[in-house]
Amino acid sequence: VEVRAVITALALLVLAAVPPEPEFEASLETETPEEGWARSGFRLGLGYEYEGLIGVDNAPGGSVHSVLLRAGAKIDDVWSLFGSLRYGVIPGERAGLRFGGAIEPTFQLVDGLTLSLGVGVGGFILTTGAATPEPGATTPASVTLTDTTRLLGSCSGAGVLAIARVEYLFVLSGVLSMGPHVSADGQWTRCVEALGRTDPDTGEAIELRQFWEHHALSLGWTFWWR
Amino acid sequence: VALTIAALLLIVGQDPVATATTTLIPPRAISSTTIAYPGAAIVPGLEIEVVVRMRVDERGDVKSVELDRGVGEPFDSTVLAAVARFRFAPATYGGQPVPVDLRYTARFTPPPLALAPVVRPGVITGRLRERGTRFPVPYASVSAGNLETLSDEQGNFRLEVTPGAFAVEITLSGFLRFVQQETVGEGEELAVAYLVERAGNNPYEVLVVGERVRAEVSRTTIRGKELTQVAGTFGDPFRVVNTLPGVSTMMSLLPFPVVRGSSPGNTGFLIDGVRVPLLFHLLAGPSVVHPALIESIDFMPGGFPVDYGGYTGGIVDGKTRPARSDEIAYDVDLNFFQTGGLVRHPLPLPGLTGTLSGRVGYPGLLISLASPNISLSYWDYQARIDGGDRRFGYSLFAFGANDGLDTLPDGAQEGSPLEPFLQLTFHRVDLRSWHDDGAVHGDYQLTFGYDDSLSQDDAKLSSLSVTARGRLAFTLTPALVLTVGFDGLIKQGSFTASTMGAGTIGELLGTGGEPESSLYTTGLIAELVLTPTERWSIRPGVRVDVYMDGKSAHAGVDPRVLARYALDDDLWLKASVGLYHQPPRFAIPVPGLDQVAFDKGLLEATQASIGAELALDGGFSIDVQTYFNWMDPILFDVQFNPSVEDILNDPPVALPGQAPNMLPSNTDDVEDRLDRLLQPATGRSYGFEMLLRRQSADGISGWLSYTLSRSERLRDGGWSAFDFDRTHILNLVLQMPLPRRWQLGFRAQMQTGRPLTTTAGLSSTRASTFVRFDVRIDKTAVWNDWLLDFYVDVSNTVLAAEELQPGTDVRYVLPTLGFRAMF
Repeated sequence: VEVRAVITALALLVLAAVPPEPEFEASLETETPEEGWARSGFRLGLGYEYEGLIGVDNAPGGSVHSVLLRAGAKIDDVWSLFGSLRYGVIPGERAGLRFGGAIEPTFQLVDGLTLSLGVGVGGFILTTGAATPEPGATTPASVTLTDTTRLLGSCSGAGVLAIARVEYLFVLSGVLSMGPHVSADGQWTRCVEALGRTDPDTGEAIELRQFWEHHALSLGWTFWWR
Repeated sequence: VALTIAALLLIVGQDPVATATTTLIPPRAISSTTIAYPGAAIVPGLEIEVVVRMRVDERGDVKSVELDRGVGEPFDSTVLAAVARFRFAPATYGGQPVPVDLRYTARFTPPPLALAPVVRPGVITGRLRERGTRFPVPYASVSAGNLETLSDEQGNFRLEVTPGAFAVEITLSGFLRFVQQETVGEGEELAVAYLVERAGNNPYEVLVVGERVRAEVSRTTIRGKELTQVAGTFGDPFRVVNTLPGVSTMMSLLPFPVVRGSSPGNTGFLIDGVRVPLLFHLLAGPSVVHPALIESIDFMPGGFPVDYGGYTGGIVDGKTRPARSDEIAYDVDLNFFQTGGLVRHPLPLPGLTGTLSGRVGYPGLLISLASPNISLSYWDYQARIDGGDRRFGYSLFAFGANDGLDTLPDGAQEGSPLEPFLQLTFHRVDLRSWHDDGAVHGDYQLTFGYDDSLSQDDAKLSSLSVTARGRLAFTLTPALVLTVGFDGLIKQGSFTASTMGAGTIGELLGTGGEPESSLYTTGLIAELVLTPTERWSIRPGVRVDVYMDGKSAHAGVDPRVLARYALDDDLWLKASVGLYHQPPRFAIPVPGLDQVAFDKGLLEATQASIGAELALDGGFSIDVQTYFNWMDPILFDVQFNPSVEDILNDPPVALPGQAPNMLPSNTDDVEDRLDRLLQPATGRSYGFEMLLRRQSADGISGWLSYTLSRSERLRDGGWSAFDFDRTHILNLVLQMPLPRRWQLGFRAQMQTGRPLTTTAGLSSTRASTFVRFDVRIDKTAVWNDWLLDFYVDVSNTVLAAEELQPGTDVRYVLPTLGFRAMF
């Protein structure tokens, strides 16, 4: 027992003599958050957008709730280049989906305030609530309806999208910022409604087509990560 | 006072052409090179650098001195005067004294005038670890004021410092600058521990770029971030196969590959050599094994060696990563569709490490938003124990999965509880052992399996199986390796149904109306690997498989030869030819529904290919192949297209606003189409494949794959295109690591539309070409003890329309947002 006590006492002495391991420390901040956001580099933004959609010449309009995914790079103090993807739900009777993707060169107007101008692809998948125009049971080929006073019953199609956006960002930290934006866009869509018929000789689907023009004004908020 | 001699050294007046034996020995200072600080100019804390250029002649005298970069007086003149007085032992070149130009940097640091003679320095000792992973950070520069040292291999350092408060700065290429404020008293020693953050790639996801294994003719191996960070795959390793040459799909949402124009059921999906009866959850979902368990995937579109039996299409072989004996890892992931986790830890028994992983999928939550009458769910699990080492080791690997589809019962009111419509389940337990003494390598597996599929009508398919597999490779001489092996399977299946089991369905299942079925297979293989010279590698082999179900027996004898020849170190020619047999399998893998209709006999294919692969600079490589496959007979061929007669008798017309059905509504026609699955067919496919690939651990990596192909079936007396033949298939996959641990992934896919039948003939036209773009963005955020990977993956970003058949376009987008934490 005495030997054990001595060994225990020695062990305690040794343990007491060993200094405790220091805690691991991370680096102090090497730049301010604003300096960090002023640097060039990759950015990712996730946002929400509410838009008022106006259809030209009887094309269906309404409100749209969209999710925005934006990614790109700040090139220098003035220029950035971003790509944006937008997926929106159109609620109500004319239910459907509005989608779009654009390349947006972005110009910094003043600190935190930017202007983007972009072009890309936009489209719809929606029902209009209108009865499908019946061009005749023996329609031999697809038909393009130029008169939009009689809408297609549904639209599945894509076209050209042009967009302008002004955005202001607040810096939250070295890696996060957020801010509001307002944007305006125009979209020209080639809508298609399949009639469920096929030309048995060529295999081509027989469908109705219609071109729609839309303008939209949007308000949104985006969280950015660098 | 400090003086640094910099590195510029030029030979003057000497023939610049050096021979292999000539070496330049720089001049050596034989006088003091210390330059005193100009006392009157001392500015506390100000460090001064003056750069001069001098010529030292063949006698070692300084002949001229010029100011290269000055800072002004009195430093410039002090340096010029002092350097002019330097004396050197002359430089020699090939043993002869030569004049040289030298560039000198004189660095002045204010001398600690008052303290230097009396103050004892402090000492700072520390450990550098990588933030997030705690890996040591070796060879980092650690500086305090004008004092500097490097960390050692273990990331430890020791630095004498001037007592007081000072900033410690750590710099290392590939890491963010580290700064910390410290205070050390006179004669004191301060112990510190710093976490330094990596600036670039996630070290857990590095791409291992190694020498290509030149064994099989058509094997492509993908690993590392190529497995889990390819855009449009949701991080699923097995979906990456769809971007490789020779692969198309029935439709882009379905991941089952159509390999070189064969039905998906003819391609083997293996995990460590074990056949997986249900590779993708719910047919279109993620694969059934946690991605973190997969180390690599070998894809062979054809021409695979005798090691693989029972398939006439391609092989997709996932290799799991054995755990190290001391490995500890925790991994949790969460996204819109599923939640998963992995725990890996040494076990109390010495030398053993255990791994437990699994996932629960809830895609039904999202789907129910659109359709409340359908619910989808799935789960899978994996448990593994690893022991031993490369010379002798063993593992136990258990894995399984379940898929469930619930629907509203017929006649039930909206909002009524959903009832199970389909349940698919399988379990596997795989025991494995290996040994390697350099001359003999042995690998043995014993696998137990249970499959169970249950449908709404109480139709139930279940089976129990035991599979044994053994391989012995003898290195007889350095140029000759003999491999022999054995494959065996005993399977007992049962089938119960209240409304099915007779007629075509019963024939399809091969039950003949009987509730029990048995299958016994035995396979023997023998293969030689001959390397008569360094340039040649020839692998002749044969495998013999015998299949019995108690009523009939069928045998397949498969001779195969694979050969490679190196034209030089970077260019290989390769070729293969062989015979392949397999039992009939249902078109899409379903647990309990593989190896059906056995009485129809074995399927057979003859495969031949020839190609070349070339290693290029910059991590690039290119692989080209041409192939020809003859398939006779084929069963369970996925053929949806109607015949010309069908078109004439039943024009593809539906009511306005409705798409025509994929399958005819007429019951007799449905039976006809099912009958067609059981009619032996003959097919052929041929084409050209190209894979241009770049592998890089820290740069842009990816590949461009292109396939020009034709797959045909003999039908109605002539050759017509297979229903899912694609003339052109193009995939571009890019992965770009960016600063601050971002990674950008991009995938573009283009494939020709599938053939369609018109009155002009079978497969006489095609659906529209499909082009889609996928994007994936990964960001790894770093905490002190763990990493958080955030990712966004969007498939078919702009909802490009895919035409399945005339009038049936599908537009979809699959966005996923997820997190993965790694401890």
